[in-house]
Amino acid sequence: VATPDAIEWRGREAALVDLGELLGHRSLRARSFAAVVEVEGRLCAIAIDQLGELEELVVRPLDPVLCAPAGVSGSSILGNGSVVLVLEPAEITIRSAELRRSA
Amino acid sequence: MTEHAPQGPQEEGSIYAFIDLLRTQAAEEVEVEETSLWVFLSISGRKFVVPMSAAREIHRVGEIVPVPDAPASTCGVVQLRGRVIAVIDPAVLLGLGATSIEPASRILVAESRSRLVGMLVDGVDRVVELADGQFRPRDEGYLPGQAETIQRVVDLDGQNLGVLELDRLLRSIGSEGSSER
Repeated sequence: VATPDAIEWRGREAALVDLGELLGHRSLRARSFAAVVEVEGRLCAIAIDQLGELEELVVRPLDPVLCAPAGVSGSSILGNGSVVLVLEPAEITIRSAELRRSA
Repeated sequence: MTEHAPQGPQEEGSIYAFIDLLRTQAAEEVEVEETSLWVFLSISGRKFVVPMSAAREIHRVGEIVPVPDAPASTCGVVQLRGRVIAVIDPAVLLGLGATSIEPASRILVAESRSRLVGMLVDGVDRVVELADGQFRPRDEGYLPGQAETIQRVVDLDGQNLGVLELDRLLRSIGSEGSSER
C-alpha cells in the first residue's frame, strides 16, 4: 500500500524515492514498480518504470563537463553495447530525504 | 647568404658552398610557407575550423544518453569503442542556439588535455591546409558575447571562419546554465 512518502515491504517501512522527480524527469510515483534497496540499515523503495537485468559492470567516472548531480556516480557500458548512467543509492536516498524536508 | 652565392669560376668545385646555399634557401622557404591542417566544419549554419592535431575521428550521431541536470551546452554521453565520452553542443557555447540533429550531423571526437570529447556539428566539410599568414585576430563584434571562445579568424574562400579552440570551449561550459529537461 503506497502512501505519498513510504511503502510497506515485508512488514517494514521503506521510504519512497521518486527518481523521476529527483533527476528532473516526470514523476514516477504513480508507477507500480519499485526497487527496494537497503542503505545503512534503512529501506528505500526507488520508484522505477521497469527492471532491466543483473549485470557485472565496470563503472567509470563521468567527464566533469557534464556536472553530473550527486546520485549519478558514473557510467558504464552494458553487454549489448548501450551506455548507462550509474546511480549511487546512498546519495539518492539522502537527496530524496532533503527534497522531502524542503518541500 | 651572399657569401655563399655562386660566384663563378673561382668557386668552381666548391660543392660544399653550393650545398650550404641550398640549405639556406630550403630553410627560408619552410619559414615562409609554414602551414597546418584544419578541419573545416559547420556549426548551426556557420563555418569554423578546428585544428586537425586535436581531431581524432568523426562519427554519425547514434544514441546520445542524456545526463540529468547537465549544462545546456552538453548533450550527454556516447560510447566510443568501450569508452564513454561526453558530447558537447558548441553551438550553445557560441550563442548560436542548440544544434538540431539532422542526417548530415556528425560527432567530431577531439582530444583536449589527454581526454576525448565529442562535439556535435552540423557537418564536416573537408580538411584544409592553411598558412600561418591567413590567421588574424577576431574582429570586434564577431559573434557577440562569445569573445572568449573565438580568439582568431581565418580567411578561406572569401569567408571569415572562426578558429575553435576546444580547451576554451570546455572551459566556458557551465556558465550558460543547465539544460531544460
